[in-house]
Amino acid sequence: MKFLVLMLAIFVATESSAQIYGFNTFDSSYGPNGDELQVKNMPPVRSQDTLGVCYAFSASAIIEHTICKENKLDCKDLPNDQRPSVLDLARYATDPSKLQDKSDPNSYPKELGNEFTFGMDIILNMFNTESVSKESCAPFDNIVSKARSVNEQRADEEKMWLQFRNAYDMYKIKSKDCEQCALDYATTTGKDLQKSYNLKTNNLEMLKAFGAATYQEFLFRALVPENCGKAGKRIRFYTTEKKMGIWPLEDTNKPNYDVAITKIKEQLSNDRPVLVNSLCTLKQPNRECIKTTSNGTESGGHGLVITGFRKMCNKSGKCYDAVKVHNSWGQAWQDANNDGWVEAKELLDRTRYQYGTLSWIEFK
Amino acid sequence: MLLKLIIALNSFAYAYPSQLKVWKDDKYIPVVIKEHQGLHLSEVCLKKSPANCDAFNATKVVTTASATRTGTVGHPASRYCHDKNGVVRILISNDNKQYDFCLFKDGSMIDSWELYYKHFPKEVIK
Repeated sequence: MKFLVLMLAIFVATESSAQIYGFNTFDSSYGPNGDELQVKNMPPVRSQDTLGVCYAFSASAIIEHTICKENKLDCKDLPNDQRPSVLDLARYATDPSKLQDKSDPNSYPKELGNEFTFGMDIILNMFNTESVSKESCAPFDNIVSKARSVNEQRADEEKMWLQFRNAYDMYKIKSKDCEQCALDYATTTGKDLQKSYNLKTNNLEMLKAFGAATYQEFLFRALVPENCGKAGKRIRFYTTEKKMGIWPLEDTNKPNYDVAITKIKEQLSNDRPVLVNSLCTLKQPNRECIKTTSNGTESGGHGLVITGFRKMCNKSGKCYDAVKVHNSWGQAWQDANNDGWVEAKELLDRTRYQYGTLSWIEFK
Repeated sequence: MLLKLIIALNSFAYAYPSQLKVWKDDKYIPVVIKEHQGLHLSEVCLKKSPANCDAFNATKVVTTASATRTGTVGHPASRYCHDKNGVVRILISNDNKQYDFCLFKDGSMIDSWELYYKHFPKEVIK
């Protein structure tokens, strides 16, 4: 008996917090059955890399699809000059009621959000501002695909974002005792960051970044040049002929899968991808989607886009609803998960059907 | 029936690109990818037999998640790559798809999601 208890304790103790849930795939005994709904002309799947901005990537996918549809462009080959900047979109994840002028992009905080922000807010604010910086102005892919070799990178820093964090924290410490020392530090470190990560921000912008009140603001200012706010560097997103759909309009906090999947199918049949604002990928989902471990707290919230629906059945006639997920975890994730086809109910139940679980863009 | 067959074939016939490219020094450079024991690795891993490189060896032992967090979250495979003392590289295919790879000190790379799923298997409906 003691042995069993010990084994159970070991099993529980070694269960890693790295495991994610909510993406049940199907083995080869299952196949598509019946009609299928799938949105056409989605942009390529991207990777958020090590940055927690899934909400910006999911909103970006919806917005890009809308741009392509409106302008009759092939979304697979959209140049960076015609794509919204993921980093600029990230700062739209804010409550517009707190802003002086929600239609002015400059009113929005110059900072990246945190893991508790939502793609739905970004789309809402795109409707408010009707513009966003071009991806070519602050290309996310070039920043995260580091220029240096592993040895160089790991000799000088542990992780890219840790280096940014350390730089900011060190500046704050130095500035308490010696302003000139802090300025010298910011000048030197800023140049290192620019060179290491191929940043497009100039020296003055880097210094301003170090002076930011919060780390999130520092990160944004370091990564996105100020001229990305100028007219020639922005994409216009006209909203006269568009509107945003949201479901549900209030927290339900009760199982509502049938209504949710009906809403999703309705949008897909009209060639509209659907943004899932936040699902909880922890083993035991809770409202805040936070787990406390011996390593600290961990957030399991994630946003993604649904672009397809089908039934998956086996020979015995056992069937499941499946949705196609357009995730921000790279193409390899899509390939490893049946091109993103996962069990619908497991995924949607993890949203808890809170306000704004689903959102989409419609043409009027 | 024919439509179902076409859909099924499309669904499961993923040809993993044998050549990807990585952004380095202001340009893209090609990276040749080979399959070995169900894993996609950079060519350098398979220059000798048996395969012996940091990327392949990383698949042999489970690593627990580290306490270090940068204040950003990232996706699970990226985080696990860092837990394995690798760094993330996004490789691009000719049709602009992005693949997350985990790069190790010896220059070898492995598909980050394959490394992750090796130790944290997917939930599969059977």
